[in-house]
Amino acid sequence: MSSLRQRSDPLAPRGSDDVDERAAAHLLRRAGFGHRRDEIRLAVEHGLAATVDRLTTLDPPCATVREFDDVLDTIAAGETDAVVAWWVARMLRTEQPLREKLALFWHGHFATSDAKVQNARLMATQLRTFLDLGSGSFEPLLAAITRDAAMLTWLDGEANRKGHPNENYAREVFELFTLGIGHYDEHDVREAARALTGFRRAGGRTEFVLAMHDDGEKTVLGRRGSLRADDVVTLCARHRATARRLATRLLQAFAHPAPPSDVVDAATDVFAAADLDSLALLRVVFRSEWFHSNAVVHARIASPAEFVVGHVRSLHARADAAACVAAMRDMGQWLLRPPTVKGWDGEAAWLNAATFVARADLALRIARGADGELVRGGLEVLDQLQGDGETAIATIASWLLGTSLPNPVIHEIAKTVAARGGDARAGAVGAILALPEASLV
Amino acid sequence: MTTRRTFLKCCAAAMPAFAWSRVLSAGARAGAPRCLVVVRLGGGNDGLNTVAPVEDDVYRRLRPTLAVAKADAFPLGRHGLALHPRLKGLAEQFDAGRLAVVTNVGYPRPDRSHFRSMDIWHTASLDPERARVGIHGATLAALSRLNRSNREISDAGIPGVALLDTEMPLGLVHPDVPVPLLASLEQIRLDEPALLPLLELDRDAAVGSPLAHAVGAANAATRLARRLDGVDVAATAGSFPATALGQRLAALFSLLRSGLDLRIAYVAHDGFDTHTRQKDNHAALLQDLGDALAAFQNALVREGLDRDVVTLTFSEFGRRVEENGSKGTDHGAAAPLFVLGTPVVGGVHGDAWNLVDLDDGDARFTTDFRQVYASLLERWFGVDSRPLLSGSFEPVPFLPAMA
Repeated sequence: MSSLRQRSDPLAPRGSDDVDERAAAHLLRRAGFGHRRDEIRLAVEHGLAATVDRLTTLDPPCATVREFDDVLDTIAAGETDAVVAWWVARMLRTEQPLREKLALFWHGHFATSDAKVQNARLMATQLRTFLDLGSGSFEPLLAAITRDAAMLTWLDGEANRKGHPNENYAREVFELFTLGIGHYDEHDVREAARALTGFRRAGGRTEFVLAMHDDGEKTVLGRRGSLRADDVVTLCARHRATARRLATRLLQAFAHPAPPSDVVDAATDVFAAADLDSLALLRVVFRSEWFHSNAVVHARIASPAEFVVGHVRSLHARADAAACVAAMRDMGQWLLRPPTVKGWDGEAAWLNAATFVARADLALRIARGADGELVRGGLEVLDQLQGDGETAIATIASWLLGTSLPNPVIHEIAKTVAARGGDARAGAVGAILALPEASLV
Repeated sequence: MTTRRTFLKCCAAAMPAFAWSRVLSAGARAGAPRCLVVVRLGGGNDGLNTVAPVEDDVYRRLRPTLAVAKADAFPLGRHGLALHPRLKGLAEQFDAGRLAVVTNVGYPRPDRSHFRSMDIWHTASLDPERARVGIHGATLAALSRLNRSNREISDAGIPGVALLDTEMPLGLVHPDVPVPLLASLEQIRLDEPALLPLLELDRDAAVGSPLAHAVGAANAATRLARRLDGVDVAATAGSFPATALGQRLAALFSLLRSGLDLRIAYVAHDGFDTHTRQKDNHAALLQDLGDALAAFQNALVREGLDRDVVTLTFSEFGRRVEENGSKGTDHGAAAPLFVLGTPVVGGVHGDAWNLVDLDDGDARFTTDFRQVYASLLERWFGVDSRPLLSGSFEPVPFLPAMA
């Protein structure tokens, strides 16, 4: 598709396939978590196209399913944080981080909270759907979520029965999950709710009960007939407004919080032509000149998941997943427990006085390395370090943050490290990760 | 490019290192800066049982299981109203002349959605298309402009603070006034205070950029931490109720006592969505409210800070007059609210409940909520309320007019 693009295409691929360390680190942070030195070197060696191909080529999800089934057997109903810890452990060690990134994206999009569902197995099953279907086309994902047991509980799908419609899910499908406000009316909501009747939870599964389904005539988004759930799914998924809305959200999550409208237009075209396949869109975005421009690099504020997992990975460290989960919670992101059906506001809303301190405290715990309870190892990467004093601090900062720090900041880090005593390099790592710059991604 | 540093230089005050004068405006009383505490009763407080018409037979008929008994309630001496039996703390403040009860507060065409109605209260606007800017954030921005024009800029402070454990309320949102949010003072205590000087450094970051925002969060945390250095937070916490609300008000009291130039503090007390088994849940929530507010007010009096602080309670709506089939109440409309403080004109402000002429089952408003805001803006902060409220609203006289 990209071969058909004009020169004026706002998502035109970069002219050169060469990537320097800065561009490689940027791509790795956005397509995954953090940027390891060895990954950066490989990317510089292989070039942009090959690296984007590697990052956006994911194994079929069967491995996920097998691992997941083993895990599910060990989790009790009340232990949703154990499910989160399993997920975070995957983020920490995966070689295909984009699958986890996309699952995070869809979890925020179809934001379902265990606060109401109160069932770890149902939450885990929904998470598996994001891991399995989140990197493919949107329509099968929407179809699966529409009959997902956790979602049925969360948005009262079970209470939505023939003769007793409950509009909760129908409204959010239009408003939040697909079209967005302005592309449907109250009549569409009422009629779609009728079309969505008939689902019932049976243990961890969902069954369709014809007797509970309203099979009368309905009109949804201009289409008339004896519509069922899958008709609503198809109507929503194939609507142009959905392509635009989801393309925008993907650009916001993976590139820039406020993408220019010509980029959104181009992304919508790519996304619509690719059957709303998120990987297909991201492949074009990651190769584009725009994605590698100064306006996009470090333009986002890392979510707590990106912050914690990213820095641990950049340090080549191993971390206790449950401790990472607790740290993310202190930073305002309790996974599988978003505040509302709108998900987390993200970006600037991640950082305030309290959550900033939570990030700085975690930075110091990461840097304590071997003797800390959170993270083991990690400082070996510093063995390759040349120079000492402020030169070394500047180098560590550019490795960890992918950016260079102003001299007064480097100077103050040196003073702080000297005042704290202990391992100077570990101290420098802690101070660097506690900086405001460490929250940019 | 306007960088944060040059912006600070040319304008002398900017996000987030806000500069606040000790003196507010020509109209306001000279002395310490005035602070408004906003307590959100989230979920829709049942105003009818909070300030109950205990002598009204219609009330007893429509609330067969939930009506407050006259013998247990605290009479207010007007309209046959009485405070809920668990509001002893507030009843004492009422008797001391420090509590204003404003009745039947609401707005036209009441919206019964939690989110929408809360947005209306937070934006002081009935227009859903209005920009997502909060009334309290806009008030802070207006006060800062006033200070700048008065050229009485002192050290950098923190103009507002949100004390809650969920997300930043829309009411405090304004692009020029970043407000720190915390659930407890513990959260802003760095594990290693040795990092403070490093986190206080400024940057040449473009205004509105993510880096400027991150630096602002860091600076807010360090400024709060410095302020609290030497303040005995634990002793204060121990003298307040051990509830979430009590501890949030204790944290706020410590911040005020630290000398921080707080202008607006927003505290959440949520859980009022009492659709089922309301009686005990609501009683516990009100007990907590009364005890915590009384502890806060009494502490202010003891510390000599009480002339500079008033507290407003609000909820997104009241509840349906007639109780529902599950011993609870559904979403309603107009309700009373409280204004507490030494400068307050105590007593009942407004009309009696009218439980006969209802609006689709709900009480009709007789005082527009923007009249309450107008009173606080004009008579407490000394700012023109009209631009902030997009119209002219008659202040409710729970504060004396400024000289």
